[in-house]
Amino acid sequence: MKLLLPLLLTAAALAADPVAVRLVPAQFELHRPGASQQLLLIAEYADGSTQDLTDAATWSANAPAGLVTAGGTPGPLPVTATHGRFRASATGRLETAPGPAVFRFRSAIGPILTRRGCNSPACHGGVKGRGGLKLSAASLFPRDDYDWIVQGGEYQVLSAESRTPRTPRVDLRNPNASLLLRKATGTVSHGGGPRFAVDSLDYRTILDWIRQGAPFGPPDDDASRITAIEVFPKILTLEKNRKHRLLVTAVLANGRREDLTAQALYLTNDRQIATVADSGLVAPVALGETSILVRAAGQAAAVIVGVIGDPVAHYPPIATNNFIDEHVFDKLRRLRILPSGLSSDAEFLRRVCLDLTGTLPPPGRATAFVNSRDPQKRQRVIEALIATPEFTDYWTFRFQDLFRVALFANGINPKWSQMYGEWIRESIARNKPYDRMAWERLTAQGYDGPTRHFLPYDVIGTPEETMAEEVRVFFGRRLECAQCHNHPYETWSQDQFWGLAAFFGRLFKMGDTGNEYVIFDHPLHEGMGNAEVNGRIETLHPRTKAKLVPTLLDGRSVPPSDQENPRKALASWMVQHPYFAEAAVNRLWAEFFGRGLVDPVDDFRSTNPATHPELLSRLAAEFRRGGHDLRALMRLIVNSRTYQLSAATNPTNRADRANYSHALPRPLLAEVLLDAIGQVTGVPERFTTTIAPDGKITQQTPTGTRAIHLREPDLFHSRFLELYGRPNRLALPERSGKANLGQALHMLAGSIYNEKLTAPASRLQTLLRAQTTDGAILEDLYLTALGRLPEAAEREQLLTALATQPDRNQAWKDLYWAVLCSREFAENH
Amino acid sequence: MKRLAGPMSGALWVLFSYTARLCAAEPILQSVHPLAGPPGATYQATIAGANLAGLHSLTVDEPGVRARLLSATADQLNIEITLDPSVPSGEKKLRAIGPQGITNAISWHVVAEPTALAKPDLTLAPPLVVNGVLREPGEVHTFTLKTQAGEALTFEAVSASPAFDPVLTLLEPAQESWFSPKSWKRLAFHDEDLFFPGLSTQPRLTHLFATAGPYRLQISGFSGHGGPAASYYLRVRPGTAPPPPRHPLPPPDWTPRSFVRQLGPDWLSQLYRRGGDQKTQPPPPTRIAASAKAPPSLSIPGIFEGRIDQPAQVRKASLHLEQSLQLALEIETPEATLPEFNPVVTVFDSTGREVATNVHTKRNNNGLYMMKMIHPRTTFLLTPGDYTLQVRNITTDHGRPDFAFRVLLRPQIAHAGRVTLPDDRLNLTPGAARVLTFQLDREEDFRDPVAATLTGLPPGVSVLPVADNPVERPPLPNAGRIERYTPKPQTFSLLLQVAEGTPLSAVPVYPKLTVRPVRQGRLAAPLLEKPIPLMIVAPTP
Repeated sequence: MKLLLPLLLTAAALAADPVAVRLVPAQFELHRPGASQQLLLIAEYADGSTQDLTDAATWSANAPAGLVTAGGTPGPLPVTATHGRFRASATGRLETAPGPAVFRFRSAIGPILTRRGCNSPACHGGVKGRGGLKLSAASLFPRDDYDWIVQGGEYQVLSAESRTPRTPRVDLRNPNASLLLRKATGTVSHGGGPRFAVDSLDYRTILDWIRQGAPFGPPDDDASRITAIEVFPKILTLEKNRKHRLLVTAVLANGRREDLTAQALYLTNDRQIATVADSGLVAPVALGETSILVRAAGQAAAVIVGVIGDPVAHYPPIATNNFIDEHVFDKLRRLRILPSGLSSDAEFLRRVCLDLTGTLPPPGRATAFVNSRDPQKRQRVIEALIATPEFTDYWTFRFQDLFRVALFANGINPKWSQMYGEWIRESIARNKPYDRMAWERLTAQGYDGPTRHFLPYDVIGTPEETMAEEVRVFFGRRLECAQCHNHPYETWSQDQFWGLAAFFGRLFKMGDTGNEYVIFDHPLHEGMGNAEVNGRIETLHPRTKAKLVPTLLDGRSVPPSDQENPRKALASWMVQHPYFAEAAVNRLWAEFFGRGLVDPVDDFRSTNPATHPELLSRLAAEFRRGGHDLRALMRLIVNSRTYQLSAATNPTNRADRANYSHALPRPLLAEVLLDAIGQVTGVPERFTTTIAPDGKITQQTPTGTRAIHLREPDLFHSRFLELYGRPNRLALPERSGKANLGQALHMLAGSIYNEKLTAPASRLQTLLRAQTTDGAILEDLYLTALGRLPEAAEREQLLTALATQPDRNQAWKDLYWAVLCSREFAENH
Repeated sequence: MKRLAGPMSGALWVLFSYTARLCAAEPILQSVHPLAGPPGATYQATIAGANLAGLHSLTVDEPGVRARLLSATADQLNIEITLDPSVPSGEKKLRAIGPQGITNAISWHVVAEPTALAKPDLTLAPPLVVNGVLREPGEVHTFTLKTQAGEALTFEAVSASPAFDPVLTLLEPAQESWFSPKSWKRLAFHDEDLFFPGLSTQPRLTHLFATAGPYRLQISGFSGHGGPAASYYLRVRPGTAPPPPRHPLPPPDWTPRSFVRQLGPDWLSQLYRRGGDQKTQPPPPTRIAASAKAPPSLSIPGIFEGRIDQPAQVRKASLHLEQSLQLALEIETPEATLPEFNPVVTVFDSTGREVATNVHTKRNNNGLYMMKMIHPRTTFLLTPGDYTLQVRNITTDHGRPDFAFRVLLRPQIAHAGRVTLPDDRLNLTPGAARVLTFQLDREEDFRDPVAATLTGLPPGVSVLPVADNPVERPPLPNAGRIERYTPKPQTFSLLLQVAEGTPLSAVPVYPKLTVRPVRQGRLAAPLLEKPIPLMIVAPTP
């Protein structure tokens, strides 16, 4: 065991001087005339917290207020900042000779449109633009923006042509009369209201640009293309009375970096927690956690901001089991949140059994585990559970959910959903590496199990739908918005979407009887028709009508070949892409914690940052290094102390829902809940598939078939499972754990909660017939349902209450019912 | 040879006259249990079905087999089967007879292994055949196995009815029986090798047991199916018998449109004979083999043979035509076949333009989707010139040494294709008429008349030709060149008229339906000769 915090910290210590100060960035280069670099002076304290001292520092003459601007002769640009007895320095370098700045629309006009919100998704950056003017979100495509402004015209989603005659939005003969300026200043009616004043710097910049003939400037070469933006800090912990600047840096394709702090748009997700100024200065409002969205140069990023309370007086050392704990507890310490204590053995056993196998621990096992003094018993039980058949059953069920095994999703043929489901089961049973599973699913051809997932409703899904699902499953990202237009919140373009969709553009099925479909990729250069019948296929860009070439998100095109399955290139690229491992570990993480590090799990985007980005990266790296081993990943997670924390909270973590400071009770999945009820009552459910017109059942699952064994939710109907959120898998499942009225009514009057208790073969009736004492029945019920013995007070109260009831059978039935309806039973905690 | 036996055979007619008034509809047999018996055995069995009350005897078309009807209820027959020791193993057929007529033929089996009835504590000691019925939906039969380390066993389940699809699951004790000391873990599972039209749905498991110990074998119905007709036999054999090929048997009726019919040396002669031409003796087509070098030259008629033993492999042959020809292209898959090997054959002209293929492309009914179907035969016209014939698998990822193809390119030969007769029995009532319909596929512009005769009818039954009301279907606008890929089907009907007062049958008679082409005013060799069991039965009250 390692100790994360070797020191006991006190509030007095936190109020002391910093242990160090540093400048951010520590090194920088200015490569063009007019370029600038903002620096921040950051103080670091003994508890790991930081403070922005930029405004309080004394800066060297070349960096007033920390801002360095290109000028003078090329060479070193040392910068120093002093605060009290602390002094920090940064190494800068000017790499450009003096001269006028080269005008570029991208860096001169684009940032104004971004900062003033003109190209925000809610305004002209929306799907169709606004008021006839379409701009790319955050100026992602400056050339397009330039054309719409300078040439005019009205954007159309499904055509590259202007919908109306083109009227320029700049007036080169009378620049002051340009519509661009008159709208933005509110001189003429503008739905978005005035965005800047007539005499503002932004106004003058645009006016000067128009006066100079509204040039675009030299086109960006590939090397100077901005590929991403980074924001410092990624996670900001802010004390109640302190402010902190953000630093935004563009990463260029050539590896260089440029400061975009002054060109970015900053938006807070929750003004009740923190605000952010146009300059990027973050100010706390109230305790809590929010994120700040930063948009610049077509890119977006987000910063997690935690407004923290007073220091914890005696923050204890927290033991860690593995690196998961180091990341989680480190953040908790910075957020001044104390994690809960370790879960009790009973709490842990029930939790890990349900999470790894979807099964309640048997009473005997629960008792033995609690009584065991083996210090390694938790690790041992984890290994034992992973080796059980229930583990294979449960994870087959989970992946059949994700991969959508269902009658209608797999060609409306139960034999095909069986083929597909068996492929998943074999993959889980043999612990097939996840990248291999993904590869097989993505590239499936012929008649094997995974090919059946290409046949929703008995037809080949459209390329765009198929691609979007694969990206969502394996990348955890939703590209669908980019289908009709450039993604309004992300950097995905419509071209990227359709380039990726083109990998599925030749997917085809051979056969027409509904029982024989063979999946293949249609040859590009053969129609398999003849002189009279054109059997060729092609996928066209919906807007430009150009023939689509399969193109990866990074821009690399894969030349089509009739001798090659195009999806192989896609699959090879996808499983090696960082997104793949990140999405996989995040998805599994959510299975054990009730929420993903990125949540929802299939909504990775720059504006939905991970709560623990470094942990996500580390988990993904470990997953890759371990050969995409799902069991190893699960083992790592459930062995962490973080997973094993108690659900009981303390004053510092009571409100925490996202930092894993305590276990969050999670509703059992519908199938697991139904199985658990069957386990506790001793009356398993029977599932029916076919009822003849005369009411006779002709197909029914064998006795003992669990709900998690059901392959096709649309074949095995169950009112209970529908009420508790079982998805039909006709779309990617999004289960809702929210309670509803139907559930309440079902508890009161439904067969599951009532008939099972009175069945002659039920556990309760068997115990009663055997003249079992009330105490023994109570212990059995608690151990079976809750994995624990009743506490002394519970035991006394319940036994007393039972003794007063005139009908013992009814009293016990009522108690069983109450336990089954309790949150403690219906949740994993 | 037909055998008729039953407890009431002596006073058959009297009883028949009485029970005839009780019958309601045609009797139907669904399944036999036990499904299999060994030679030399005498055993009782039940047959599940419908409308069985009143049936009095059985007919078995097999030497060395005797079957006796013991009793009949509406949905079950109790019978006794006696098998001579010399009866060969294999599938047998059985029908039942009664005042309501003759039933369909039902399959059952003679097996070489000892047999046992399924029961919960049964231990499977190979060689053994276990007979059972999954009488209730969701029922599962579980058997115990005690094996030695390194022992291999083969399990095969055969169902009595196409409506019942059994599934096999092999279980081993869970290595970690954490949840229950009785926990068993799935070791292997088998429903069928491959679910595809024409392939068997019978499960088959071969397993090498690495460790000694108890195992379990379960048999259940697919998707929880069960019922009185869910009869099966389970064969347990020592060793690892080679799996049967994933290859459907050629259809029992002559058909040119199957990937598994054999394009043998006499294929062209068969086509001529099917066209009524008994004299033409065409030489066998020349054969060329696929080569990795230059494409071999194909003459007409000629057979191009080869294998797609590597993924994305393309096999080519060249072709030169001096004159226009109406051609037929036929494809056989002698080893692996659909859906694993899906041969696409395309003919390109010298400019690379596709002029023919065995893939039929059409649009669906609303014209939105293009649909493609692979066919074993297509017809087309080629004009003089140079061509390339190309064979490949439909997928680019699959190629295997058993992906063998045989492509025959030949002039078109007008002939009669498959003749299909849906009825397998005729139960007629006095004073009524019944239409017997069969279908003939006219292939490659076969235009000759076709004659059908039904001989051996009992007294009182006459036969008349019937002109069917032609089915008027609007032309399919999106059908592509469907005529290249399908024959022209034509239905023929005969009317069987039973005179009033015709005596009811005690036993069936077997009139023979014969279908012949008429060539140059003469009847040619039969296309179909089929005896059909026929009985005269009392009308339904």
